[in-house]
Amino acid sequence: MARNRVFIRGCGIVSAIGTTQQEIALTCHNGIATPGSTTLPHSCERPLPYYALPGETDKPSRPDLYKQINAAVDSAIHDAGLTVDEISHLPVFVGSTAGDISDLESHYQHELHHANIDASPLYRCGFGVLAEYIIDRLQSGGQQFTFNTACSSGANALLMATRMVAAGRMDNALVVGVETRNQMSLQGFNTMLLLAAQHCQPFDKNRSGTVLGEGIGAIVISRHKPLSSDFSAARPYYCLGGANLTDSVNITSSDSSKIAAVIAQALTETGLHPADIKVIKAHGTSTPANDSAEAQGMRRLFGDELPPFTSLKPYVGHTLGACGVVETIIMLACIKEHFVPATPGFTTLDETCGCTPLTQRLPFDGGKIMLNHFGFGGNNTSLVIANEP
Amino acid sequence: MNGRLTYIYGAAAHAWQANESALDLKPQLQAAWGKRFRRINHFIELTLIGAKSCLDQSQLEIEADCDLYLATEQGNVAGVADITRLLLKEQEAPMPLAFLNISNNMAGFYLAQSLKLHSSNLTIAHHSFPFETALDLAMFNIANSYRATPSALVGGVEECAYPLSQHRQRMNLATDTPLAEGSSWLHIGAGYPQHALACCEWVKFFADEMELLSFLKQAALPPLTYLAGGDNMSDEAAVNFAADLNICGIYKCANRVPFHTTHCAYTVASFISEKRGHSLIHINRDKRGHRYAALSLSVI
Repeated sequence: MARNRVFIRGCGIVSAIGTTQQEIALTCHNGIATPGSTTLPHSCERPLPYYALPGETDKPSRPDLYKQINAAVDSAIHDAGLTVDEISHLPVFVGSTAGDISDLESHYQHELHHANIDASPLYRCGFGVLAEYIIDRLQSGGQQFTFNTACSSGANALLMATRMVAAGRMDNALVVGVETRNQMSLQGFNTMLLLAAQHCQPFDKNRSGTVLGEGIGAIVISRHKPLSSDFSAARPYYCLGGANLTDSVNITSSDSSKIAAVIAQALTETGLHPADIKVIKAHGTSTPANDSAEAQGMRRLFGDELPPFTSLKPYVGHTLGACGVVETIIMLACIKEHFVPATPGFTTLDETCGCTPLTQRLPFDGGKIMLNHFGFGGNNTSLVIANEP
Repeated sequence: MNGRLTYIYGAAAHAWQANESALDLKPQLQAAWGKRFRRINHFIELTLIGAKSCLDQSQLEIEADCDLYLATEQGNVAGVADITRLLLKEQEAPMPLAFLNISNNMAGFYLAQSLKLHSSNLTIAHHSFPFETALDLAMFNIANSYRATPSALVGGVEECAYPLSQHRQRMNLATDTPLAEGSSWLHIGAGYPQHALACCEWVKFFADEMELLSFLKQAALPPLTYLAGGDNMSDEAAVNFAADLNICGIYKCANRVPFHTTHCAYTVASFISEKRGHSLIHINRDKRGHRYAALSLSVI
């Protein structure tokens, strides 16, 4: 079956470590990012570490969701150099777990604050509202898709968009991952005892939980090679595809065999062998169970030839449904600068993991990168991108 | 695309008129599956009942690599509303399982677990066309799969949140609009034509009415084709479309059910069981009346 090559044509991001690829690459190059903190309202517990976006950091629910989406989307479209005609039928793929809940919470809080005790907790509903908003704002007649598959949402949006562009169903696609600060996610993860008290330390023996963060990423993929004369034109970045499979046994933490299975499926779907993968961006949440399962799953598949791997969550936190897009953009920003970032916070080998993430940044001169994302409900997705002639 | 036909092996249409409190579905769920499910919410119950009914009626055994596509507009709206109220008004943290269960893909997880599936599992949302979008994606993946006989379960599931007056308000509906909950499913795939009840021909999306009409006028519609209008279209609008096309009649389900956003799934599944030898064009309009989605199928 003839397939188009799917180029990454442009990116935009709003994250705790910056809103440009240069800022992000610089932070990752230095290997240090420290979370801020947030307090759970009405809780006597101490503040939790949290990676917040710049601006309005004092509110428990982010009120400027749409402004942040606009910033990421506009940046991606500008970076991609999309024409007015291309935008007029641009399809939009959104991945998110919380959708617009931060906006809904802000609205409800406002009503309660003004003594409207009969206010509706959700003044509107619909998980497709963000995609609808983006399509309307761009005045695009393109199709829209929204994926709600927990922490693999953004990765599934990117996977399905890649398949459609590769098959010639569309020329370009805008893929957006959205997750902004809201009480529901913070309180939910806290009540499930999944949050670290201080640091995110993926794969470390002393890891104690994840640190949440907010972020919005937007990627334009295309069957057209980028026209710019920079590094990307000579050696373009492209999406090869991947796979999504469910672990239908384990609800919050996949079994290592299921992680190995989705990686194997991604290799099959992209026509690759394990030895073709040069680097892995792990999901690496820093929760004890997830990291053990992921490490064992990778070792099960790659054996003694496990490629160097890293986790990006110590830089921006776990951006939940957005991480599939946000972390892809961070990887791209770094490999444009010829390095793969280290995993800050790792100091001690965990025997249950049996492997060590990158503790120093790794020079990178091109090749295939695997990006893994695993979500609640056993929803596992493995993607492959490449930077090759 | 490799031109594979998408066959429909099973179809089940389920909808429940919403009353002033949530319907207790536990007896129906236990009867359907022959076992009790613990610690699941209403949205998951709806999902499990509809999907099991579809598979019970399917002409083909489900395989472990059958993909799942759950379409919804509002997802776990009742659960999300409850937890939001608990957090912000009552100032209490949610119970862990209540939080976990409001993740929209949890219904797909419980379904995959119950069917022992090891496949792709996607929950798809859309502001106006959730079922059409999920069916389109499923058909695309089937057509482009490297597997010899790929298959999928595609369902539209929608629940209500109570009180209904607030729910109508958040959906921007008139105060007297009757509401329903729904869980309607199709079992589809490539191959095994001898087991097919119907064949799904296409799902298309249009920027406006002119684009839709232009497409439909050029489409080769079989002689015994009915037209059904979605919930956002008036009966009059459906009749006007039919007048422009070679349509033998307007299809209305024998059991009319009130508004729910995945009503398209209900209509399609009902048509398959009621209209052997006929074809259907289902047209839906978005909430603001700008964009359209349409699909075509023929019942064998």
